[in-house]
Amino acid sequence: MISITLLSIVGIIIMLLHSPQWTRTGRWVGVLGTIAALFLIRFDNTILVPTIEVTRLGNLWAGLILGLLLLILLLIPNRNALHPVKNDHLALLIFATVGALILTRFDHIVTLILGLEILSIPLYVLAAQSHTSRSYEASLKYFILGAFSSAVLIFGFALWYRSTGMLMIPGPIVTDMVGQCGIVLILGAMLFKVGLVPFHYWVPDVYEGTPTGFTAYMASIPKVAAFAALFRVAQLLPSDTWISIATILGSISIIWGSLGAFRQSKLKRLLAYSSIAQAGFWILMLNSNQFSVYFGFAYATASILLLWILDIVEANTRSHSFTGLIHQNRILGAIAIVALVSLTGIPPFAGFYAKYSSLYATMDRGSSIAVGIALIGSAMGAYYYLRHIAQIITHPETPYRIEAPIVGILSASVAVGVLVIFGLAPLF
Amino acid sequence: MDITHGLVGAPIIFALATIWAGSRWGTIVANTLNLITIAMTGIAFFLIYRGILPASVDAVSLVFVGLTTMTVTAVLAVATQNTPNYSRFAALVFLTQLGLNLAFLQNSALWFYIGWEIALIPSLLLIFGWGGLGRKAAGIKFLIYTVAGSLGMLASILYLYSHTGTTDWALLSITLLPSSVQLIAFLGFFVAFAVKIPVFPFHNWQADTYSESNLPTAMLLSAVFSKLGLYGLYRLVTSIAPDATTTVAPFIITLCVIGSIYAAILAFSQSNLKRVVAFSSMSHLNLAAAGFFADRLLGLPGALLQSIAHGGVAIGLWWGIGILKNRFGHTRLHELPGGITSENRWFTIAFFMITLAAMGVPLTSGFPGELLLIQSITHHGIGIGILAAVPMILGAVYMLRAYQSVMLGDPKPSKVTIQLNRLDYVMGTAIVSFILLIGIYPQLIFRLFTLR
Repeated sequence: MISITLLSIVGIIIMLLHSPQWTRTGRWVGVLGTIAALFLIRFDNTILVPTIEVTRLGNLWAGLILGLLLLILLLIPNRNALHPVKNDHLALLIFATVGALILTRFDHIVTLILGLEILSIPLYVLAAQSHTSRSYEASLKYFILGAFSSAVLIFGFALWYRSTGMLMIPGPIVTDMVGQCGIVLILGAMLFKVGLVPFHYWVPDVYEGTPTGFTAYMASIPKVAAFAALFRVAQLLPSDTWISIATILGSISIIWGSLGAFRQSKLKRLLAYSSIAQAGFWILMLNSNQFSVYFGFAYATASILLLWILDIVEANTRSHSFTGLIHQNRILGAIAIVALVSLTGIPPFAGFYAKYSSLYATMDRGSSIAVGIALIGSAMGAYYYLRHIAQIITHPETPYRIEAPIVGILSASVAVGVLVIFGLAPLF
Repeated sequence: MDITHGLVGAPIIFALATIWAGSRWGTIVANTLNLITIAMTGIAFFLIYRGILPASVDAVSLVFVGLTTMTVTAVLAVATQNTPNYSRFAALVFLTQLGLNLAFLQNSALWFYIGWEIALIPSLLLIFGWGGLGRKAAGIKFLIYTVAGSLGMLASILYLYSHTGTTDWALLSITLLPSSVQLIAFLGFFVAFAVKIPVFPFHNWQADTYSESNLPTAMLLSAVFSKLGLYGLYRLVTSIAPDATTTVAPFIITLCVIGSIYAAILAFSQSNLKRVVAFSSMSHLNLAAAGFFADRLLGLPGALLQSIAHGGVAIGLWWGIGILKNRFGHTRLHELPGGITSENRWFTIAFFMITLAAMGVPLTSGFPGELLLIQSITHHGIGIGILAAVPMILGAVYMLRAYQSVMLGDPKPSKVTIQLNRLDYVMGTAIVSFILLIGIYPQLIFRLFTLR
């Protein structure tokens, strides 16, 4: 609980530093606070709050979330961005992360709902920050659907409670009709949060309407936290039911997301659809284990890097794709190529091992049809990701230098190094 | 640590150093650093000939690494002429080499896959960055074919791993897999290799890719990239699926022989020299692929020898085309002036030697491999054996036709000049010596295959 408390305090401090001259200070307070929280994860305990559970795996998820937050805090405050990041926004990001951390720790229904709400409400606000009609639309859509899904979740838990008389997770497996209805509602709401088919319709519009810097957040931390929670909630289902649900929905998501991504020329919509496909790969892992954490790391890091670069490109050239990026800024171009290659799942980057372990888990439990579908999805993924590499390399019509903040470049390079090292390490 | 780690690890350092050296020093740095790789390969070969093998590697792997080193040297040397952004080009070539060496030297299917994919991205960047006008379409075609094929391999690796718990070639070869498992694993691997080689119905990417990429890249792709597929077939046939191989052998040999003849016919009808070479490459490699399935005694060494020999010939052909391209600006067969022989005899003779090797004339490197291949295919029936000899005849037709229209006759403008520099003389001499060396004394390579 210490890390969660610390992060909340950091968020409040940043919120208080809201006047413009404190912008830089706020950012560095956030960075230091995140690093401190990262170190304090190990000392988390349940002394004051009995409704959480501290496990090693939970620590791993929390460490991933804090690491991603650190990366985002180092990257996105870009002064030249279309939508400058103020300290209020940083505070919202940090509050949302507090919710995400709670989602890695809950063992009680109330904590789960609390975590989901703390995570979601700042995102509804952040989605509207472009102050364009599209952005308001995204925010409203996200808000209405999110609130609806929360209601469904709570109703599901009410039914489940009626059937079992328990509020703790993991609980007993229900067999009566009412309890099973409850489980279905709970699962639907959780699948909405991770953006899997058939609960994915909000993803592309919300991604597109949100300011790109915040999309980087939205594509990473909420998704990681939602998956941590989903895998935990899935323990309420009989395991074979869960296996078939996850395999079917995973395969459909991979195909659906890939088909949607196929014809997107806007990078943001492409990433939105591809995040549906990636979620399909992710859910094929079925359980919360170190491999699913690893998948989260590989997917989220690459997405953050790409959206950060897109943010810079949009601010400089008003273009929505990476055409000619390598001629405008070598390092950004190289980082974008690495991130795209990693998302495709090509070694030596982390994306390969993530995809490999997901496919291996699927193959190991004998669902070779799902492996086949996932491989077809990967092949389509290779097309739509790597097509953008071709765009990065083409010569732009107007050669134009793109400047990037040095802190961002350094942190992104470190992130690329981590992608390579973590990509190769599990193979030895 | 032994020499193999050096061969895998060095290219990445070289790539970084070359990038860092920049446009001014890139040429010197890249070629000097490549000398280190040559030295390491030389030491490795010296060790095998002395019978001292690194425990983890067998001779076949090292032969393919030798081919990679040779090709990279040639590519770096040829690219010093007329390649913009040389340092970036060389860095990408080094990264490709990293992937290739990784695939050849690490004795496991998973690492083979990883090396294969690592090599893919820099080579794709080479096509995108330095290719001709249609490079984008060609690159994406290349990419889709290769990635789709390699995902079949990944599926097979996963399947094998879930059945045996290992992906090590040596361990897989002593694991007795049921033939149904072997067959499924075989199909996945075969699709990947068939795309890479390329075997007949999977060949559509090849000619476009070769003719749209610049010459050094085409050299790299045809001389070593396709050999990834042949090396993979060797491992597939010997370690993973020996039973499945005998089951599907008649079918695949037929496919390969058809492909070989088909490619030869296509080569005959091309009007661009690059595409002639692309299809001739496909024709030879299809036959080599058939050799892996024909028999163990003659076909296997024949196919391996043909892979190495074809690497040398491919380097030579692309070198010659490069000189023509630099001089005339295009490679369209009917628009080249012809009559070069009266101008520069040395070049025409060197190119003729290479042409002879591509035709498989005795005493050149093309012959011993091809002879063994045809002989081994004959064991599967005299009819298919005769058909397997047809590409050799057609090869003579299309190679000589191309040679004639480029080199012989009266030049259309009364005088053509071709000026070679010192590098071209060195390259030409080296390639011709390689061709003659393998052609006259193929034992040099055969010994290594039997060393295991």
